[in-house]
Amino acid sequence: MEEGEATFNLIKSSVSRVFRYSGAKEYSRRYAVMNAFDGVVTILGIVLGSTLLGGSDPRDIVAAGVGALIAMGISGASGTYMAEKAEQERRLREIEDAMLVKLEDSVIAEAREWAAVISAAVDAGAAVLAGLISLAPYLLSLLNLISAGQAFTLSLTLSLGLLFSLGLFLGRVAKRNVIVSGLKSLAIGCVTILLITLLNLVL
Amino acid sequence: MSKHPPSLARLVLDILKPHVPDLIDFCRALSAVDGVRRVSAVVVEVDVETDTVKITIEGRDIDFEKVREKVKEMGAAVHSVDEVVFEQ
Repeated sequence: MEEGEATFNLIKSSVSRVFRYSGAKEYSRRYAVMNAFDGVVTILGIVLGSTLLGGSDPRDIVAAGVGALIAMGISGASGTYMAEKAEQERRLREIEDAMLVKLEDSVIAEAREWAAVISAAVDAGAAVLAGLISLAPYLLSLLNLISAGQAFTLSLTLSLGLLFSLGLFLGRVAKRNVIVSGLKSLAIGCVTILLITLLNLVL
Repeated sequence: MSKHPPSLARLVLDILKPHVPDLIDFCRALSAVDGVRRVSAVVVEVDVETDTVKITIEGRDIDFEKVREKVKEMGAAVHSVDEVVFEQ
């Protein structure tokens, strides 16, 4: 138990040092919110699209949802890693130019390398986790714990709730009215629902 | 009567470092070097990307090479050694 706590504290202090030395804390926060949004809205789209357009079999929705989340996780992790690594290397070169020394063996270079890895993990993790929460009712439905109809309602509620929570979080980050921020983000979910419903009327 | 070799007891270094790691992390890292008992620092100049700091290191049998390695590891560079004290 104590060993677990010690490991957790070590990881926590290492991550905190990486953030302090690389300045990547706010980037990671940005990636987390942005990709959690992506995850939720993607699952919302799959759930609404397949239900409204007629294919409401939970098995299909889970397969499509998990497939989309895997793709999103891989694309998010690799894209963020490459982009963040390039940014961190550019910043390191700027400091090297000012210092007139090479910094490759320093704690700064090490922290900036880890910053890219952590940002990639946060990016992929946020999208997959948020998507899985929205998809969870359909997983319950697969286990015959709830009906497909209940899964649809619950999934929609969870997705909109998550969008609202992300908005609240962004409002807190920006130190502005959290409720307004939450409602703005909820509106994104409502626009998605509206567009997919319109698509259903056209098709 | 045996005579001990003189030991390095005090160093004053002129160091150029990036803004991060900050001075607290920087001095904490230096204080972990063998023989170091006390580290104090004064900022001399702040530039766009760098800080020039005067670091005073005191202790017994300070290993200068290890100090220099630690400075490099923290992403900084020793510009000059401004004061040295050896003790018997």
